[in-house]
Amino acid sequence: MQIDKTSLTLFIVILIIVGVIAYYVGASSGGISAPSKVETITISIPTTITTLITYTYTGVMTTSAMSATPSFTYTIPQFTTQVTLNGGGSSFVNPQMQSWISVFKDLTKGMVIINYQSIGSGAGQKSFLEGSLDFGASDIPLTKDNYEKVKASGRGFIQFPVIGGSVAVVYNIPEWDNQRCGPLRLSGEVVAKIYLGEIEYWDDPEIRSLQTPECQNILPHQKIIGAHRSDGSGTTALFTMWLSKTYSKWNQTVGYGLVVNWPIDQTGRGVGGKGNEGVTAAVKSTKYSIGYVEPAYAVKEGLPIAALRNKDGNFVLPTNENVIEAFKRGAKELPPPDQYWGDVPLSFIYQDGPKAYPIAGVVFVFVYTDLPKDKRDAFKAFFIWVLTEGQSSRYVLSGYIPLPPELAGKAIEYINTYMK
Amino acid sequence: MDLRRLKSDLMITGIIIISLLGMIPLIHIFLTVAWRGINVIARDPLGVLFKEPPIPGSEELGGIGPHVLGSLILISIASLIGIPISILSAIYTVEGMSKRLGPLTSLLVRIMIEFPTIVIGLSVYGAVLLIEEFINDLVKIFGLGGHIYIPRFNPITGAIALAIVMIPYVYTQSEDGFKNIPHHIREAVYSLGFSRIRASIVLSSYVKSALLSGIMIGVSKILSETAPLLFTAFGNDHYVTRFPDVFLNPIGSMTLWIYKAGLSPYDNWIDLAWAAAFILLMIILVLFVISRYIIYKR
Repeated sequence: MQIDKTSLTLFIVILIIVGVIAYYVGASSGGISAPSKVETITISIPTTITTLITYTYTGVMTTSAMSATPSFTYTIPQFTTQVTLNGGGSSFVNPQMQSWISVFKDLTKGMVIINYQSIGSGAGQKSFLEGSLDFGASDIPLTKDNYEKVKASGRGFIQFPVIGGSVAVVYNIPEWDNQRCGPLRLSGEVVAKIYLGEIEYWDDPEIRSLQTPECQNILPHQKIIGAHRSDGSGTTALFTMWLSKTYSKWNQTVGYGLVVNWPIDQTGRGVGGKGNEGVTAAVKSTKYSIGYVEPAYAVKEGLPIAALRNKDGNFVLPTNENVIEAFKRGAKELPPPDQYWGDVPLSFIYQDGPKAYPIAGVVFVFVYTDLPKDKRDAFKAFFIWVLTEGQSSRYVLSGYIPLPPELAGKAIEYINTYMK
Repeated sequence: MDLRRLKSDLMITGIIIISLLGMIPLIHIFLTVAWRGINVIARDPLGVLFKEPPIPGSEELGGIGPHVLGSLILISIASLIGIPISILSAIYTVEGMSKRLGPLTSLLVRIMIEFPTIVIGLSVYGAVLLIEEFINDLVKIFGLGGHIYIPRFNPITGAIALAIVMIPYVYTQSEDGFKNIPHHIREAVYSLGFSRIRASIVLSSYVKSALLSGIMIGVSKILSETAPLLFTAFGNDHYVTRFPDVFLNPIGSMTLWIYKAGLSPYDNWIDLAWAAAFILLMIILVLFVISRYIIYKR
């Protein structure tokens, strides 16, 4: 028995020594790798693109916003040694993030390696919280629970938006003639009633009254099947936020979140699907169904997208222009980065404005401000680049919406002030 | 008489048909993986083996280079840790170094085979957290200040988890090998007046085919493991080339890639998942054939 005890202590001591050595080896070599000085690798954007973007945004650029808004060129500091950053979270942002990462890797000549794993928004928040990853990304800001835990830990942190997106409502009604009648028109209240089980048939007077007079009688007397996500997702959070904001009964009985209890499931007319691809497949294969997905999936599978009634009473589709309009009208001022941001996504949902699309949202990135120096420099360089040049149409993939310059400018300000 | 003959024939035909039916899934899996995998690899054989994964959903094919390299690194470190431990403990139990601990070791290792591998991964992750907490407590006691941080996801913890998965397989094979040494040979070795350790070394060269096949089985077992790596290696789509960083950052593996890319909605990632599945299947088949051959020769 005595031998065992000594060998055990020996083992633990060796483990500790190895751990400490490994840590210091990592830290000391990390210290050297700080970007030595700023050199000019200015990446100039073709003038056509710059003018295009300024044209789109001219209307909103107030003088105060202009001062915070950086130009679309950004000088990336030079990195002399390799730095690796690890992040993970939102699967919605994954293709865009991988695209930014590979461009940025080329821009830094392979010196900044960013490893982003799409483990889901919930897991992204949790990994950030535990410190197992350098940064996390999620379709909604830190939830109340997670926020309080981070706050209690006493470590400094920031969160900021990086890119926007929207949620499309899709439907499968064989009788509906998209050529003649255009997209089906729906309102938040009607969709909420469908998912609550209150509206049962497609030819319900409430749905009919939304359509143009000549198309009101096309709608069939068929039961509505409601498809929804079965896994926790930011898409569900944005969709249910919209329902909560437009129909008070939904807000009181169901509310919003990454996962909710769907009342339509109790009527036997609800279908769950895993991931956007699951919901897309369910709507495509089920006649007389309705669902919600990221627009890219609907376009890819050829599903018709409904026009939704916005606050001004117009029916709008999730086009880039309409979603940007919603961002412009949403939060102009982001709260201080270490506060609870629960209201920020709500401000983009169901915004007024004649063209504003009602279900828009942004992806948030979380990071502790006390990252080791080399990682912090790499993080700052990467995300400032993402928030400047990364937002130009050259680097934004289809299906993503660049942030309005006020939000991007604010995010850069937070990164610069809190991560000195 | 004829009826009995007929019955027996019918029975035999039935058995053949059923066994063929049982082989259908195996053949189906093999053919699908081979067909889809070869189709992808044929598009750009070197690229698939060495390039980094592409942007999901793009037209580019890219490759799984970091994952192939990651698997190799993980398996080498795991073997370095696992094989000596399992062979030495097999010698310890069989050569009767301890009357009470020997049989206990044998029993415990046999229980280890039944552990769910995800639990092994989780407990290694938990151990890292505990060690970090312990170190930080020490730091506080000695008043050094600062927070010591051990990276959660790195090749070493991944390899430790894999080694724990590997040990029982290598151990049982080697134990059986040592147990099967004829009594007269063991007596002959000991009669030369060797110490126990020298004698064990001589004896292990006598059972080296058993040891080798044990190693093959262990390696092919951990090659196909995903669960213990989820919380330890985590996955990395890029080559990390700087020296200490390799051991302080997440590392990819082919199984993790199959798990992640196979479930994704992007065509080019799914193609690469098939390629990884094919490469993995080939390596495991080769190892299997080698180990069978060694056992056959024995």
